[in-house]
Amino acid sequence: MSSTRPRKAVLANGLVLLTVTREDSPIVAALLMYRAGSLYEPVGKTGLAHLTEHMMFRGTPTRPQGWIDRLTGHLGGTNNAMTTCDHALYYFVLPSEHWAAPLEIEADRMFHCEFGPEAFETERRVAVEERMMLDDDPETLVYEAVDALAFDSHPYRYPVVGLMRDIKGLTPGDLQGFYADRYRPEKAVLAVVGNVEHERVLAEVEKLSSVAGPLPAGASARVEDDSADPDAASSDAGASARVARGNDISARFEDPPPTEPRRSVLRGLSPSPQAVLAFRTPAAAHEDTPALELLAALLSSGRSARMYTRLVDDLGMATEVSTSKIPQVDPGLFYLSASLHSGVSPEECEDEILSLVSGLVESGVTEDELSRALNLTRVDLMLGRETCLGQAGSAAFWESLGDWRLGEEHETRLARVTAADIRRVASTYLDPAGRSSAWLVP
Amino acid sequence: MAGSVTVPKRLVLPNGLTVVTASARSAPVFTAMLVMEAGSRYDPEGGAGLAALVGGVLLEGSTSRSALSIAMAVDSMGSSLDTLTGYETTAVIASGLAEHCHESLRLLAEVATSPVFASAAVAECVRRQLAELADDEGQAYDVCRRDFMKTVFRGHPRRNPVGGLSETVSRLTGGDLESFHRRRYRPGSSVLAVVGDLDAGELQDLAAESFGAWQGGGSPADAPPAPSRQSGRRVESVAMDTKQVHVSIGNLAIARSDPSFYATSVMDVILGDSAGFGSRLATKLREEHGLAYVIESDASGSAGLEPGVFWAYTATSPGHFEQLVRGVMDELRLIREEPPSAEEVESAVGYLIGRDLLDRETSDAVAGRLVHAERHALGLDFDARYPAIIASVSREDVLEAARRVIDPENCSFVTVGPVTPETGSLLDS
Repeated sequence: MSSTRPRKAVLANGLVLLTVTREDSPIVAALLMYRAGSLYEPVGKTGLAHLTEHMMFRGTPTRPQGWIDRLTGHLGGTNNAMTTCDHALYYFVLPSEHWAAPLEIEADRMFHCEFGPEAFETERRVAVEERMMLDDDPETLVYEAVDALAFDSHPYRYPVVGLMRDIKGLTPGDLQGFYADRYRPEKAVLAVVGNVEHERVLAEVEKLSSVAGPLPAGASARVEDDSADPDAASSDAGASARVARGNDISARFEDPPPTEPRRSVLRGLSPSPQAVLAFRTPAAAHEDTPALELLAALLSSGRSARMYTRLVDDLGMATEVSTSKIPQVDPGLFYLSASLHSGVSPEECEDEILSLVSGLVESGVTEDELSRALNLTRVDLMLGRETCLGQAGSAAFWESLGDWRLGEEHETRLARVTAADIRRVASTYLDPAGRSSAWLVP
Repeated sequence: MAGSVTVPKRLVLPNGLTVVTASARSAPVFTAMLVMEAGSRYDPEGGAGLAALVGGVLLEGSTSRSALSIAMAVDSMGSSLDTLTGYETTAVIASGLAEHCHESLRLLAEVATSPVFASAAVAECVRRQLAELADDEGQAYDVCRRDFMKTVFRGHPRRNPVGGLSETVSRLTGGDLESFHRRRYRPGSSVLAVVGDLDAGELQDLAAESFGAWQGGGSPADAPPAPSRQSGRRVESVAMDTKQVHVSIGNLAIARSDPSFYATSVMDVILGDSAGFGSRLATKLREEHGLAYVIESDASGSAGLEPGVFWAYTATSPGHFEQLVRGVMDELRLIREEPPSAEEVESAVGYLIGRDLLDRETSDAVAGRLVHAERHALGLDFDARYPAIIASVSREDVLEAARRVIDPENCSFVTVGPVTPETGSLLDS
């Protein structure tokens, strides 16, 4: 029967399987998320995670290069992959009857991806072209600049696609090593959402694991059927206590937040000025994340938001404003950005943004503002889960942090955020002294 | 969502507004899309950007609410209310929780039918539109697309970007906007699609209640003459300090009503618009040679009431430019010379049928499809008929379509980047 909540199984090889049954959906999404983002790259090897993701389409002994895309098209579906700071993720969206096809492909390339020198060089050329494309995009460069300022040593300071000099220095051996270390079943979450039966998917994944991977013969999956226990959800002591299983790297980084403002000015890249400010904030699973998300919404979601009314409507300074608190495994950044009218100085804009934040810290926010921010955020989350792929991505993300129920907890906590919480997190995390800012100056 | 979408219902209100609704129960949300024949196609000579400006000003206040009051009402519900202007139409789109559908429809009707073109708001929107135009100048991709359209549509109103030109936008006045709105925002030539977690009949009632008072009949039939194909090649190079050279190649193609539309869709998949990197262009030039990150082409996507364009786009480092362009031209010639293999056609047909299903997953996607079906008179049963239509396309149909829509001898070729390439020999090689 249909259920909006995932069912979960952990295979003996450590792979976590989540399924959500949508009986009325003619579509299925299968998403495999590895803890294999740029966070795990060795020093001087930026772009390694991203190039490895590219190579995952270059074939295995039984599925040559191009095979995956040809099959996907033939079955009437789409597929793609993406690397973020934290994850490498691979997905297929297909008509429901083909739900097993992506599982076979993923089982194969989880263990048998090839890194031949010729294919590697070709794919590196593609990655170099991608790097050059980003170099032509001022918006990308201004965010890369602010990331590099806000961190001193944490890998989040580097672009996921990598630095050109590092991309050019990578070898097939680097990729082989990264693949062997990170593309392992115990570092992955597979989410399947659509008109599928949990038991059938589980049986298929077990079968494939026994063929393709190091599942001991005769081993059986350890199954945790979470959806059978609705009371198990939303207990703060429950999911939160399981946070960060497998987050095996962040302890390496000692990178305290800046204590003085940092600034980077990029001149001549764009005809339009822009100011981007970034502040260090806690990891996604931190208890302050919901309040920070609502703070972001309150500042820039919708045309009644504070930054919009102040910078766009009242002062006529900006053409667009945005804020974001990207959920990340490690402590990340809270961004505030404004695209400016010609002739407006980014410095003037930065001062206005800081003044707006300090006003919020001093005077707090109204219940109406908080309610609008909450409604906008909840509808955004709901629309994000409208598709099978969106729901698969959300479930896999939270599970990769330790437990898919963290997502449910997150929404419960959003509803509990108070105006005082907003004021507190703004004061705690948006300290002007700790800001990093990057400006585009025409 | 596709499985839970009911058969659409269609109703024409007494004022002429066509309302198409469908119930979609997979999520407690809705999308309402009001589409008017009010795109940049109807910009007056010397007034490029007018349609987009009118669309932008809609949210700046109505006869009964200020801009802030509208924003507060929308944001309080967690909804969204946006406008989008293209070449043929302007759409006002609302989405949010189904429980707010009624109130959102009222707001949508209010901003679309009773805007106030206050001079301060118009001036501010002009300023924003000029800023957007200036910003586009910094994006090589945008410049490449813009100048490609300018070259293909030389002498035709479609040569101008939807957002207009700085010299035309800066001259527009509140009076121009009011006049355009009066002429083009009319129920008799508009379509409203509402899709969501409500009964389709109830959605019809809500639509009728919200839009029943809108008066004005249909819009005047003052579309520009159809564009004509270019004769000979047109080559443009724009110098820009970028790392890559951005390349557009193509020509005027076909309208949505063209008999070869479906064969063209199949050709698109084979040549440059497939799943992943399985198209001929991507396989040959990206996957085999690593010459580009992005390489794609399309001829059916821009087909509207008027012919759209066949457009191949890629970007590469200057050192790969020559090899890449030769490769693209080879593929364009090849697909016109011999029919694709049966396997290619079978695979492309399978992809299109599946993609059609995937394209119906959200309420806003379904609403967009209902509008498209209505504007192009495809019928409410089009989704059911589509698989058979596309499956009937043969190898010979694809060859014929390729010969019809791709014209390497009479194409436009635009580059944007750090070098001014010598292109003549490349195009002929």
